[in-house]
Amino acid sequence: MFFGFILLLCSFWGNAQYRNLELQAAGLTCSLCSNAIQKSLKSLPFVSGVRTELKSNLFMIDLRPGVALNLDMISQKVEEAGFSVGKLSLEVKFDPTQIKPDAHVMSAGQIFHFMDVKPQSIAGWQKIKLMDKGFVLSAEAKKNSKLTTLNCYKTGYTADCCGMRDLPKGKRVYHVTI
Amino acid sequence: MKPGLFVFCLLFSQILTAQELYVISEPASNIPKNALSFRLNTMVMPMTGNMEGMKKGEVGFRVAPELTYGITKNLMVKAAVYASDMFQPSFRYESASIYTKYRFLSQDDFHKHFRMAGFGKLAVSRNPYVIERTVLHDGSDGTGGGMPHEELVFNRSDEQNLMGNHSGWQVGVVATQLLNKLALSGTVSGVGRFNNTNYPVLPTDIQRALEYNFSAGYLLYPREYDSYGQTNLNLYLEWIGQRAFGKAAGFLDMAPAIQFIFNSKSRIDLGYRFQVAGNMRRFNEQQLLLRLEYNWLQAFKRT
Repeated sequence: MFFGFILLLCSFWGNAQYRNLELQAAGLTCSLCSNAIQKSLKSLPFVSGVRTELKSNLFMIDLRPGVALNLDMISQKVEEAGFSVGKLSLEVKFDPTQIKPDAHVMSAGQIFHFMDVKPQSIAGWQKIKLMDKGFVLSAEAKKNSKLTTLNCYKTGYTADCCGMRDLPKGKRVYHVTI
Repeated sequence: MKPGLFVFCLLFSQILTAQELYVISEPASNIPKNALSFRLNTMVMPMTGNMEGMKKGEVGFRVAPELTYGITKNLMVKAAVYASDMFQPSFRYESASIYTKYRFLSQDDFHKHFRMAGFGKLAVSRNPYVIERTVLHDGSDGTGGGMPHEELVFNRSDEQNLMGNHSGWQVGVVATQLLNKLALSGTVSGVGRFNNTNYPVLPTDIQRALEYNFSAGYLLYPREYDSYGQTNLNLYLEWIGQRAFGKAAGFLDMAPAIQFIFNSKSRIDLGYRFQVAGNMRRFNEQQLLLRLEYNWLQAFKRT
C-alpha cells in the first residue's frame, strides 16, 4: 500500500518543469461538448484555468503552480466528458540530455521514450508531443506502435525490456517526439 | 420514403456541421460523466380522429420531467415521470420510466466519430389499456331495445408506447456517425408491454414490436464557433417506425425539429412528429413537443 502510494507520487511530474500545455480534442463539433471538456479539465487540482479555441477544439491549459501535473488524468477527464485527446503537446525543461530514437531518458523527474527523432542533444525548454494511446487518435497510436519493438508502448510502464540498467521498473513512461 | 431519404442524405452531405443532440431519439454518445441534465417535456397530442366517440379536435396533453445522470464515461441513466389527461378528463400522474445506455464502441477523429451503444428501458404505467368514450346510438340496429341510448366504447392502441401509455420494456442498439458535414444515427430495438399496474390482464392487442429510428441533425448557426455564449440553432429530421411482431401492422413517423442551445448548457427543442404511413391503431398520430433542458456539468464533487 505504502509502496503503491510512493509509486503514485513518483508518477506525478515535478513542479516548474513544464508549461504551455495544449491539447486538441477529438470526436466533437459542438460547443456544448467543448464546454463539457472544459468543465471536466477544470475539475483537476493542477489546472488553474482552461482557454479554448472553439473552432479547432484546442484547449490551452494553465497549470497551478506547486501542484503536481498528471497527464493521464488529463486524458481521463477528456474521455469522461465523452471525447478523446487527439493531440497533446507541452514544453518540458530538460536537463542536458542526449536523445535518440527508441530510447529512454530520465529528465525533469520523468521517463521519456523518444520516438521518431534524430539523435541530438537537448537542454532547457523543449516542446514535446505525446505519442501514447490516449493522447493521439487511435489510428495514429496503431502507427506509432510500429515505431518501437519495446513492450512499454503497449503497457505505458517500464519493464526489463526497456534497456536502461538503472531504470526503475513499473514506472510510467511517456512516449514522445519533438 | 426511400427516394426522399436519399435526397435528404445528399442535401445533408452539403452542409457544414452536423449535430446529434436529437430531439426524439438518443444518439450513441452519452452525457458526460458526472453531468446532470433536467428536461421538461411538454407534449400536445391530437387524438386520432377515427377513434370511436372521439370528438373532432380532441387533444391530449402530456408533461414529462426527466433527470439524466452520467455515471461513468460510458454509462448513463435517465429517469422520467409522465402525467397526462389522455385517459381521463383530469390531468394526473400516469407512468414512470428508467432508461440506461452503455456506450461500447467509440472511434474518435478530429470533428468526427463513430459510436455504438446498447440501451434498455423499463416503464410502469397505471393507465387503462383503452380510452373510453360514450357514443349515442339511435337504436336503429335493434340495440338498446330499439331506443336511442348511450353506449360505452373502448378505443385501443397497438403502438408500443413507453412514454406514458403502457408498462413495458425496450432493448436496443444505436449507432451514430458524426462526420465533418453530417451526423446520422440509426437505432433498432425490440419494444414490448407488461401489464399496466391496476390492470392485471393484458389486452389481446399487439404486445411486441420492432422499433427503428433514423435521425439526422444540422447546425445552422453559428457558422463558426468563437465563444460558449453563442446561441446555437440546430435543425433535425428524424424518422421513427414500428412494426408489430407476428402481425401486419406498423407505422412510420417523421419528426422535424428545431433546437436552440444557450450558453452551451441549456436547450429548447421544438418538434412536430406526425405519421407518414401506417396501419397500426394508435391513440395519437401526431405530437407537438416542447422541451426545456438544463445541464449541470460536474454536478457533484467526485473524482
